[in-house]
Amino acid sequence: MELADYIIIGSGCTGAMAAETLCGNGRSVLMIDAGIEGEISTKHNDDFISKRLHDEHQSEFFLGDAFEALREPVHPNIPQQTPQRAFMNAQTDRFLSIQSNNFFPVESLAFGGLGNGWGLGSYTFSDNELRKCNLPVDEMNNAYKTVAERIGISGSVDDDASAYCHNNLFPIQPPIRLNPAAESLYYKYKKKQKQFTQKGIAIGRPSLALLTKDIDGRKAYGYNDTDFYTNEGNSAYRPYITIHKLINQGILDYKKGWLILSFKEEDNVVSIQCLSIHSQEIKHFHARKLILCSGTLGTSRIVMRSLAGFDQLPVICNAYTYMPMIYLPFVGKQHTGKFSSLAQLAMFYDPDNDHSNVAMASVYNYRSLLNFRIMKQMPLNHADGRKFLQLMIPSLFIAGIFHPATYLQGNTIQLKQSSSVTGDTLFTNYTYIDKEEAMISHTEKVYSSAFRKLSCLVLKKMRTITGGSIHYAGTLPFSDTEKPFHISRNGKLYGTSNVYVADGCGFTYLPGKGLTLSLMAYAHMTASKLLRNE
Amino acid sequence: MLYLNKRNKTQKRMQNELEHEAVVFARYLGAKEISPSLQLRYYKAVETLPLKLNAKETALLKRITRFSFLLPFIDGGLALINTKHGIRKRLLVMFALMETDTMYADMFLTKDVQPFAIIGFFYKGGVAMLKGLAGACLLKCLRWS
Repeated sequence: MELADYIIIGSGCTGAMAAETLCGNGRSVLMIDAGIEGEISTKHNDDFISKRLHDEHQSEFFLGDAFEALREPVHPNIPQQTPQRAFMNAQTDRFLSIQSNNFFPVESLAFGGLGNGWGLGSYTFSDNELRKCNLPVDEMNNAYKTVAERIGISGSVDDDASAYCHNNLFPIQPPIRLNPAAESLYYKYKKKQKQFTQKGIAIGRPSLALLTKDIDGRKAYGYNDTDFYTNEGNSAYRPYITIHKLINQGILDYKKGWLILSFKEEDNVVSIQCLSIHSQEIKHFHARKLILCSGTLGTSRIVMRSLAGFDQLPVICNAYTYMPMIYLPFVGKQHTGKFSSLAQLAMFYDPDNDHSNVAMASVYNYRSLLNFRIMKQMPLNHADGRKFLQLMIPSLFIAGIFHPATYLQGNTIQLKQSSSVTGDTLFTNYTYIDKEEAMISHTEKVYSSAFRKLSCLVLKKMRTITGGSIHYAGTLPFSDTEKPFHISRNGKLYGTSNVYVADGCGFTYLPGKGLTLSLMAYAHMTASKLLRNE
Repeated sequence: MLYLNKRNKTQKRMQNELEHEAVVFARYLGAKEISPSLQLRYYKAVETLPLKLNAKETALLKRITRFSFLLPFIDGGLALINTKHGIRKRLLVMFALMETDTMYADMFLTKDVQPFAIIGFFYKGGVAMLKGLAGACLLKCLRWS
């Protein structure tokens, strides 16, 4: 029987960080993963405009060999999937069976998980937010530093949003250049800054896991505006970068093609039961310690299958609002070749002015996803719509707002036996109570009014179907006292001796901010504590 | 043998119909010249994607390919009353194919800075909405939708 020191389940952002911490300290680590791979190119590409004007094969690039981009979305919460990212959700309907009327989470079986499509927003939680999440403040702040150093973060150090983005906890690279329309919008904000501050709104440059200077063989961002299709020079951080590095160094053993069903402990050894996603063969792997990094819902499935007792767990998820708008001064302006589809500005609404209840909006320019995706949603005929979009696209901004989330009664996940490949289906329910609903509507109104002050014509407020934020947490809450289906502050799953959880399952609150950096910091912190307590 | 001949003939006829449809749609969207490769890609896309039309949609398609001046009204009307109509789906496919073709890409990109763009923007939007409303009335009155 082969026995690893540690088995890590999952190759997403949290798995990659836990692996780097453990492998870097000389432990033998086996990473087990479904590991479905895609073809995201890291080579140099033409910029978006040149590609559009000169590349004879652009149709295959933008629409896919089999016109995949023109098919109906495979998931209600991934409406704008590009062909290059389709692998992220491949086979999830087969192996991660789910049923709901009102909660449609996005999951992944891909190598690198949902990290392949991460918008790169890297935001620290404030001390107050960390306390609400039940996370240790000092240790998390230290963990943020380590993770930032590993992945490389760019942003501003001294604008109005810096305190909300990273609070200068770690050194960062200069921010990316703004697109012309975003630069103009930001300039407008600067002129009316006082009015915004009085309303509790701060605008600044987002912090992104994106390089603006070369480091460790990764290249600085090239502004080619193909961010949804490629990752040129690996300028954007993706978990595969870490995992490839560890595999190439010969310090990580990676096994793909396995879906983890459950675990069992015997004589200080954890035995993991896995299902082959190719042949449906069952195999067991063994380790001294198991670290679950399968994402909140993936980890919860494994825990519910492995431990008897509870058939229903709580869940929290950020509500998410899209707000497309036209920035009137930029209607009909010509697009430049060098451009970015990544977040241009970060806005923070802090109603209590204490960083405890913040709702954040990321502001994007729309271009490289092409006009046809917007045309599909417009109530106009295609011929006039084409001319209308020619004028509109340079001025089109989309704001994505994350609303903070806490536990609400009745919002649960439940694993029930079914005829699926894994023998079970996750039943989910998620609704908002009146108070929560009122707070979300109020935040939407505040943002809408702020955008109007910046000469934007807000076209719509679209709340995604619940689950659209792709932020899930709280299924196995942190607890200081031993309780079943809870985890200790050092990440140990109560009721087990050697099973740890290093993803968002323990967070008891979800701030209205990007979550990924905090998940990675937590995974690193859990792995570090494990090393200390060995 | 007879069966195979018949099947080939049906396929050929379908291809011809789709190529004609491609010409009508591309012209409607503003193309001056229609490349054979665009016609072929449209044929392939319609064959590959779930874009089959029901009897009512087929009848409407026949009318608008014959009287193409009706297209902006019918298309705009459908945009208001039935966004999932088969003809809208096919038009969107042609729109996407032209947008990703070097020959037509320019028609989808914004050109020089236009001083009165904002007026043109609201004017174009307004005219398109009026065509849509007229089309919706037409579709309802003639029970074509």
